[in-house]
Amino acid sequence: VNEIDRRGFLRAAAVGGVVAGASAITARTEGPVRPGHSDASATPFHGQHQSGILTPRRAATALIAFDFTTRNRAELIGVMKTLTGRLGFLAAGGVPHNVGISSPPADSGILGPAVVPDGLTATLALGSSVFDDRFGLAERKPMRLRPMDTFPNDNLDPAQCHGDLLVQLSADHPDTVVHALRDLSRSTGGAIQARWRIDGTLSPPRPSGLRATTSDSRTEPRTRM
Amino acid sequence: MVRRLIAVRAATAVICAGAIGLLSGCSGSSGSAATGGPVRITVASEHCGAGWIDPRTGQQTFVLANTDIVSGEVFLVDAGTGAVYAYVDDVAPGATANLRINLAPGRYSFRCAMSDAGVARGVTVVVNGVSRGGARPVRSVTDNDLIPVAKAYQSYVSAALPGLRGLVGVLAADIRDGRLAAARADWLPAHLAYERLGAAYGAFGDADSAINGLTAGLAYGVSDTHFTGFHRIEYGLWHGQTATELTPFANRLVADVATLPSVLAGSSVATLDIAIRSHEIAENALQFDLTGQTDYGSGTSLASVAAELDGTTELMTLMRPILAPRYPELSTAGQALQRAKSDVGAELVGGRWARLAALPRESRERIDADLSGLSALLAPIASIAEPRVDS
Repeated sequence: VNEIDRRGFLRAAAVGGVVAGASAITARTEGPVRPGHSDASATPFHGQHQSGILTPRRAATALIAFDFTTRNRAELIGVMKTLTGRLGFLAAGGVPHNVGISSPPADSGILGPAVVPDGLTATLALGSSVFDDRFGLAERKPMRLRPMDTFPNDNLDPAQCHGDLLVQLSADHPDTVVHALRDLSRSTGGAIQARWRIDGTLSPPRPSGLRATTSDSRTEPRTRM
Repeated sequence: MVRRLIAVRAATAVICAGAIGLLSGCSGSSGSAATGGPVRITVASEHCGAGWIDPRTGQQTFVLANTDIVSGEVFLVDAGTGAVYAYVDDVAPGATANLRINLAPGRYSFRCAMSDAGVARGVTVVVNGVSRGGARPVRSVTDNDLIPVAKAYQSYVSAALPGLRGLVGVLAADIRDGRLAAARADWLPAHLAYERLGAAYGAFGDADSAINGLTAGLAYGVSDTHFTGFHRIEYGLWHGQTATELTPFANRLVADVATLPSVLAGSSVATLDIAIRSHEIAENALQFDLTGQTDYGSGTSLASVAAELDGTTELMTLMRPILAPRYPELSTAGQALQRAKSDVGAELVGGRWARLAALPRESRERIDADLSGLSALLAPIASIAEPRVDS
């Protein structure tokens, strides 16, 4: 029986769907980077492809599925622009604007007075549900895009399935992920409503605790999700 | 609720009262900020604001150094109108605080409000050049501005109290006489009369906990002897408890509601509360009602939200004279309030409120979104209308 499970499907999608994915993943995850080790260099949010796919796996990840509560196309465009602007800032880091007394502080302050990039990557995906008549996108729907299937080994809670917008936030530390998520929720003023969220962590490989210098499945850490 | 107040005040201070690490953060950050190190500014009764050399537009950092022997608050104001660009809460004597701000061209002046002393005014500094996204000044609000609003709000609450007492009396009589079906019908109008007061986060102190408290924080949950008031009675009425069991709680509620006039007269609605209340009602509805935490069986969370939005409307009407010249998004906030009322109100069908859990996902997300957006739009009011030293 040629059954494929959800994990296998996602792995295949990641390798096949992303151009030259497989070799790049192997190449980039090598090196002495330990989970939890803070890489001060920022990963640009903007680029030819989204970040968070070929970039080395980070120690902390949150996957959050949102639904758009925007009422029309213009509001949807506004939200996407807000997300773009905020994620660009969060990935680059910097000092949040001082808005004086005209508003509460522009930042939650979780990361201190200056936002550190902490390797933050954000990867966004639209669900097939976006391509309906709410936003006039029905005709733009990618041909093979459809709601995720139920796989043989799944035991799904319908409340934790699907969604309009899937956001993967990854960083070297969980506080950076939480900070980014709070920033997105706040800056979008309710226009995206979280449907479900799953956090993931990357443990150090055992028994050594150190990432191997060559790719070796025996020393690769397991993804805990 | 006390924790809440402190949190809001602390949050207001956080923007300005920078940690020592801020400086290194600034120099390391990218952007087109003009070069030049931070400017050290004197905070004291004498020479307030001294040290501002080489004024320029754009992002910059002031190091506010308190050289006095008492602590002081610092304002950066428009030298002409006195409108406030930035406010730094309490710089201790001998301490420094970082103020990072983006300045547009203009005429600026520091004000130092030192403890037990008047407000010292710094010299006017003219900043020339071009800039993008400079901070927007807000005319500061004083206690004197807020007192009429607080009094009007108090009158609104006072005027509503007799109606509340009447409805609670009806509910209590139903329970005492064993008419539990009638009590279930009469519970909601009484509860809504209370919710309409806008008593978010326990505005009425201990009386609010007794009248409208939840089981949160109570070791024995719904059986806890400290669980009293509307929700205790709601729990009993919708969980098959008898009139005998509920009569003590009904009597207690009547007594607690009867204390409200004196609570109101005695404590007066603090002016700070007025400033933060506008968004807190919506936030409270989002946090407790729309998550179902306040539902002990009646399924009337949405009715509560509607009543809370009525309370918000009342408060916004009272605050309007203060906000209209200070808050550019006031009309947007008003639209968001209307939208929330309309979306919540749509769930009242044929005189019955939809239960939260029965709402289709789209409706529930929409209402959550309405209240989130409304809270965000009302949040600046807490900062704009926070009473500050008159500069």
